[in-house]
Amino acid sequence: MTCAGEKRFERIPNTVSREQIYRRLGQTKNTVLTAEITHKTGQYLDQALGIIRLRGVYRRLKITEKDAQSVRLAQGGEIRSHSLAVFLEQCEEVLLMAATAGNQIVECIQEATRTGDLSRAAVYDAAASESVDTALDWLTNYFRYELQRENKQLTRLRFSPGYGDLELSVQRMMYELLPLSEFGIRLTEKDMLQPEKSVTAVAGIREIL
Amino acid sequence: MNIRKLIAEQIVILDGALGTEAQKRGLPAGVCPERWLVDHPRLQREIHAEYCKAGAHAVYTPTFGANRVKLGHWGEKKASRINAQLAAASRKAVPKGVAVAGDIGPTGDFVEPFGELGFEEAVRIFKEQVRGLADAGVDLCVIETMMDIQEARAALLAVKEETDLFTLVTMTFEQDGRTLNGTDPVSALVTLQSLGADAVGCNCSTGPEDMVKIIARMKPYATVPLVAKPNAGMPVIKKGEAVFGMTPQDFARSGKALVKKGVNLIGGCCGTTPAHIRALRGALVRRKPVAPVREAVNAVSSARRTVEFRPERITIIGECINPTGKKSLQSALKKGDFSPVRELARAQAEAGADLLDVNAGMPGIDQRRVLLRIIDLLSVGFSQPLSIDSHNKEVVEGALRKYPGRALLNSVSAEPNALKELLPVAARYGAMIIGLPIGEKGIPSTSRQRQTNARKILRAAKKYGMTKKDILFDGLAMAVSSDPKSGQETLDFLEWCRHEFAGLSVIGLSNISFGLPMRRWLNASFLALAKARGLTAAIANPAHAEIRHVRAAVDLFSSGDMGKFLEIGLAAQGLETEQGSSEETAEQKVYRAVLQGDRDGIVSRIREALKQGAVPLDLVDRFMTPAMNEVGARFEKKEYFLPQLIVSAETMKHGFEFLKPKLRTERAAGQVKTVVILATVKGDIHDIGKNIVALMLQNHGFSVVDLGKDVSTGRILKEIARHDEPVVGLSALMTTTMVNMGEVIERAEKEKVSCRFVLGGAVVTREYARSLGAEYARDGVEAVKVVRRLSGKKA
Ligand code: B12
Repeated sequence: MTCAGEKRFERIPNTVSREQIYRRLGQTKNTVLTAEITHKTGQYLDQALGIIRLRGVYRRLKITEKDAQSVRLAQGGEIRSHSLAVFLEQCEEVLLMAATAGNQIVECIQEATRTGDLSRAAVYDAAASESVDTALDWLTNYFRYELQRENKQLTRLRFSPGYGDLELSVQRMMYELLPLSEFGIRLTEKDMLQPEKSVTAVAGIREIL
Repeated sequence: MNIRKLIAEQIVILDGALGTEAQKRGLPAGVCPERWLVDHPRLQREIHAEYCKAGAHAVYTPTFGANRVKLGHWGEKKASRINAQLAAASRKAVPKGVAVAGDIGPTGDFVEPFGELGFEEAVRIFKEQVRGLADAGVDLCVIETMMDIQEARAALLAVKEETDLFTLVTMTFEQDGRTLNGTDPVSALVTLQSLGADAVGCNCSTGPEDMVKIIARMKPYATVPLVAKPNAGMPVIKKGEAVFGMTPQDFARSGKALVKKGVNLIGGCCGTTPAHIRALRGALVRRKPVAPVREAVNAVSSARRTVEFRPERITIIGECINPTGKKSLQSALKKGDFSPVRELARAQAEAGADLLDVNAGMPGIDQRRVLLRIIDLLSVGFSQPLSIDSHNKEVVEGALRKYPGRALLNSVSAEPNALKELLPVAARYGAMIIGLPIGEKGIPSTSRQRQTNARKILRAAKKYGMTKKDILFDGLAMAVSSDPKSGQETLDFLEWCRHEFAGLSVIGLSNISFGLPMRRWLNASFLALAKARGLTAAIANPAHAEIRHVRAAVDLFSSGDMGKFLEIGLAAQGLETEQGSSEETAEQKVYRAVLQGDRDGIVSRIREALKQGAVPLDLVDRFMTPAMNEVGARFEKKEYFLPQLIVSAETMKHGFEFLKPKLRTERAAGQVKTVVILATVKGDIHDIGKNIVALMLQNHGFSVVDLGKDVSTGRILKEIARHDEPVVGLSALMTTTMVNMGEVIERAEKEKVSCRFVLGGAVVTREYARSLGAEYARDGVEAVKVVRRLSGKKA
């Protein structure tokens, strides 16, 4: 069952760029690459991109109450964070979202590590990290179209639990409000998502006049 | 109204936003807009009337979301009926002379191979909608706001298969110039116009300025009129409120720029009002439209790339995805294992293939099913357009229908049956074809007979609306081992094709060398000769360096594109110089193997050095370790990035392991290695960083005990107790788990176990470590330095 205002994506196109992944791996303008390392890294990267499966979901929820320290949502969620409250000042709804690169890539990273192929593991790891981040970009961009038709707008920025005063424990609330278990995601005791190549975020919805 | 005539004569004005106008007039949030409009026909009438008054030549029916999928979210079932009702109301609302365009928007689900919605199911969904619109007598159809090229194709096929209506398709491009799913404007255009769209363009998403760039990219490839329906700019914040920024005057001004770049139909999307359309009409009414510049385009496309067959370049069609004669590929395909296909595609793509040829012709499989699977896989994972290699009508039809781009069909011969069966299919899906000048009597041996057959193919193709530009004529390269003159005939044909016939040509390159030694060189030489005589494209294996390099050279000489050549040339040269100078000693070669991360070569280098009398311990201390230090230094200067650091470390490790048995006897008995215990603390599951640190430490001779991740405090303490003054490295990624580091250190103090701590991981800082009385290291390279210091250089 999907809830009202919720949309799931079973196959988010992976629009991550190679440059992004190379940058995550520490490439700068000083970096001198040999043909061989370029070839190897490229090969690992291609493999990783074939294994990574990006899935995601978002859900719109009305803001029922807010003050300087916290924001209450329909369905009973509450987020305590001063900076988020300020960020959502003009908004009447929020968009909760999550994305994952899937379990298979995480298993492949572990397998490569186990067999002593750490360079492969590191490239897979960076590819998965960057990919899942771009999946959130993609989700928000997709949602913008839906909103435009209603003459509404999504805030340009989004906030993730674990940054600033938005505590990691907010992931627990997100986990309850989004159907993440259906993507095979678990929440650990310490409020971390597993498989670890997963992300959550919140953005605000406001009207265009 | 004759829309084609109107487009030829003037800039056609389309209407502006409908949803927001309806909201202004009372359409509430949280209802099905289509149903609400059916129940409030006055509103629809008013809005259409305003746009007509403003000067629109055509209005869109309010059926954007009236497909089964979207209506289903509101519990609505009768898609055809709602479309018919709304379109009929539009029809009634507009005066004679204004066209009604039946509007079709996305379902919100992505279509195979990019999404879960089946392709034929998508076609069916759109057909329901089209039937309703057509029943109500719309004058044309509009498919709009598409971001998935495959969904746009499904909708277009639905319209074409249900009606003869003029059809306009517009996609939505992001600011980076691609749709959200990655399609660029030229590929969208090439794909859609060849599939039968009567006009193509863009709508929504960006303001008119960004659309100018999109239209400018499309125009040189357009065989059809172009459309733009931009937003009224991007929403901007004014006095704390978000508003669409563009006034009607600004909008009209940008409209002029769009028309200058070649737009033929123009209107407005989100944020535009009747005032914007009025201004547009006023500004553009007297402008002369720029007609499509091309009659045909000799290009194929994928969802993400267009490849144009250009005379100054050799276009390479990668030949390897073909089970013929490949036992392992055959058995993999039989088992449904497609990973070798991906591997072959990757190797060719990396070697510079422009297109990938796909063939699934082998006994014992369902060819159609397997080929469709391969096409899906390659369409998602690769940007190279595909060449569909089959002569079976059902297979070809299935493949061309499903392929999310403009494919090349390989091939159609001049035999009457082939012409009759395959040409209509190719034409229906807008594919380019390879024309094989083989007639009823088999393969003609002379160029002259081949010319006759080539003409025959062209004549037949023209009957289905194809042009010379849609065909690559095959020069029929045959084995010179069986007929030494056959090469000459092929070259003569290519010359005729280019210079007399003015056609495009192709050869299956590797046939030429069949049965001979030095095949790659023969192929590469023939490629150069063929190019000189006018060849356009070759089916070949670019993974062979000879082909790749000759192609780069030929492309340089005929196109003068030095940049492109240097890219390939320098990479090739790089490989040569990395071989090192011949004066290098065997030991220096070991040094360089570690420095450059030659994982596979290190052991043979070491063997070589030992054979020449090198001492194992010396090799480690004087060559390998200094090489690794140099790697670390380069990493710190950011001259090496992480994969280089790790590959070198892995190389070192391989070498180390090989030398280990020999080292044991050499090392002085008194020398004890420092033990380093590593763990990612309790609650934390992230360990890639810690693993890199472990590898680095091992390489510098430390004895590493890696306890893994999510390790309890008790477990760590137990391990510490087993060693004599070990160094303990703790890792944590999150602040929530970082606190467990404190716990470990506290308990160690309490229990008075003797050890030194070094901390690391994303959230850990030098200050935090210091506050716990521990050391800190930023990364693996620094970790080695810190542990060395802590252990008093014991290792
Ligand atoms: C890439 C990344 C991601 C990726 C991958 C994460 C993963 N677990 O694999 C993705 C995008 C999925 C991600 C997700 C999230 N992330 Co994150 N992420 C990062 C980032 C940018 C880099 C981490 C990384 O993988 N580095 C690459 C590896 C190779 O390096 P490393 O592990 O750090 O190891 C090196 C060093 O640290 C050191 N080292 C490591 N261990 C040890 C041990 C010893 C003894 C020594 C000496 C040295 C050492 O040497 C290693 C090799 O050089 C960090 C910030 C940062 N700059 O570090 C944030 C960071 C870890 N993430 C953060 C957050 C908040 C999240 C999310 C919770 C956000 C969200 N709500 O979605 C989610 C987590 C979701 C979940 N699973 O529950 C925060 C954590 C802060 C906090 N409050 O705890 C960080 C610190 C960013 C920040 N706020 O500044 N993240």
